[in-house]
Amino acid sequence: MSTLRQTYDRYLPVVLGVAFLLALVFFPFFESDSPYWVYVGANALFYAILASSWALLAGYNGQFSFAHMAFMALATYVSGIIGRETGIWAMNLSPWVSIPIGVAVAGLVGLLIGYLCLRLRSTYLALFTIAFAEILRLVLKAEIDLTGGPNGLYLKTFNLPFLEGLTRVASTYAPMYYTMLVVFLVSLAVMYALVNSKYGIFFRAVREDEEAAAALGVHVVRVRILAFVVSSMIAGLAGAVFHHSPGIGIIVPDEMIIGRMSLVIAMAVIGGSNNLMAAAIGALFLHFSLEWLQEIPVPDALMPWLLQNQARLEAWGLGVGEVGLKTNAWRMVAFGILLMVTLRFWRNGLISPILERIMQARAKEEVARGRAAKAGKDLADVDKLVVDEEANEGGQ
Amino acid sequence: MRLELKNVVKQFGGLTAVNGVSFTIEGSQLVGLIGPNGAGKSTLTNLISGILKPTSGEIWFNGERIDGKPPYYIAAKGIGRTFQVTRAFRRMTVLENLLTPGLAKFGNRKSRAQLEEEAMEILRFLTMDHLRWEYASNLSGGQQKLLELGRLLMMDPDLIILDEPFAGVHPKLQRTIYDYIKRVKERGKAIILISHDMESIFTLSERLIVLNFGTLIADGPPEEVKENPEVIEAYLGKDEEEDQFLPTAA
Repeated sequence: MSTLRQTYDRYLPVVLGVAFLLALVFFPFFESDSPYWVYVGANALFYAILASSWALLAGYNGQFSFAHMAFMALATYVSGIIGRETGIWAMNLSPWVSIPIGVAVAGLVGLLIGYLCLRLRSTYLALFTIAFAEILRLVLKAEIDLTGGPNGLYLKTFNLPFLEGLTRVASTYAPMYYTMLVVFLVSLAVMYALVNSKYGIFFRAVREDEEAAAALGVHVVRVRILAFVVSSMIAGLAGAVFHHSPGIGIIVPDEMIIGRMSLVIAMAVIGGSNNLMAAAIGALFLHFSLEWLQEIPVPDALMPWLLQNQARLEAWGLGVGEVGLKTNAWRMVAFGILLMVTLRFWRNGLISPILERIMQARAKEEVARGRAAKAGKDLADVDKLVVDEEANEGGQ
Repeated sequence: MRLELKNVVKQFGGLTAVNGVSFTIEGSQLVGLIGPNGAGKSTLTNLISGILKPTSGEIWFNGERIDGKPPYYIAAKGIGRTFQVTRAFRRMTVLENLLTPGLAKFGNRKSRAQLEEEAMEILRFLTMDHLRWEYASNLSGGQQKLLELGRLLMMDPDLIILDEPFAGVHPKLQRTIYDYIKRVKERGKAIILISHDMESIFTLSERLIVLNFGTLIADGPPEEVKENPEVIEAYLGKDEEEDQFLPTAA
């Protein structure tokens, strides 16, 4: 029985991880007759990158920033401006060149903002970053010659000839989706490498108690700025790649409004901001849910009833669509309630505790394996050691 | 190891918390730092560890002037400390708490696996190895004190400042802290021990420094300090008899 449990604990994270990855890879093929949902999928991946990189900054390092969407937009605007053929600062660069430059600029500005915010905590940091984001948005809106103003900046889209074939077998949005999927996986890999390095430990130590961390030798300034720069660059990368994708090709300043930023924060919080993957899954789940809730499909038999009561439903702010009930603003109400309930009852988010439980079982086994190896025992004894350790801990 | 304070002053607005304190600690001494509440003990430790900058005066450690340097720098030079109110990293596991100073150590060349093994060794000594995956927030107050001490062992500094290590700790755990101090001492480290537990401080210390209203009023062997009229007055007041407050034997 225990061996079965060990096997289950050992392979569950791997099985779930592979299943998750396969679901992401094959999603456009499942939705080949519905390009809209593939487009939603690409959007969801964009938000997943933003939510997880915000979690890196806020959840791991304790810096509650509202400037994340601003860094996303900054990299995109820089890339768009220097990439265009004519106009101020136009250099006619390929997106493959202009995007890295945009991301680097986001990183440099992140460095500056991170440095300016060194002494700011909680509310003050939030207010500072809100001010920065709003100033940037208003400047982008006002500088019409440079940025296109409120109508937005048209961007060069990149071509991915090797993905063209997918538009026939999967969806017209498949190239965009797969591009975002690659950026999502690369960003997660980079962030995981960072949080599993010594800097991951330092990030959290600084979040917990800056003075105590410094007294133990942690270079607090370097750690806080590193978190700001990395998360800004990843947000910038997500924004620039997404907006340069075929099918988008434009960015408007109002993408940086505080409502959008709050959405990213809420996604990370509901998933669990202390875990990168949880924040990403939270964003994927919520983005799909919000899209699905726009018009909840109902059985054909119920459609006549909905049409009959259309006037009454509209009085309540609802509506009747082609395939079901339109929820309009009510979906955001549901989202808000979910956020409030999560904050009240599950401070660590809804996904994070589940992932932690799965991973903890594996960690225990790893320790037992290490001990067995050190003691020169046969690795076959590992299962017994894990069981013994669990029994010991249960008895504490 | 040599720590030297030269006429250190710390003022907060009009309040002088530390007033011209000078002393030197050399070798692996165990020095008790005592004084009534508000005497400036914690301010002094914050000055030595870089959390506060002195208003005037100099602090030298192993031939280098360290006053005004940031805490991480001072830690890297070899001064480690605990805090009066325990400051474990609550949402990190016990093992991660210990790994932090190991990984932060300047010039660390040990692998993560080696540091984990070292951390487990320390946890076994502190009889906390079974709690390695536990979040620090789930530990009792006494266990959190032990965890702070464990972090210092991991950091392996030349000078350790222990701020009230026995406060609020179960007698059983106090024994472990006693053993800890002895072990650290055996390793040739210098210790500054701050405690209101006079019994412990007189038993353990080789030398006592007494502060009162930010001023150093006595510095010497415990037997000598115990008889110092200024110390007796600081603790008992002028009109009181010198009685049971200060232990009779070290």
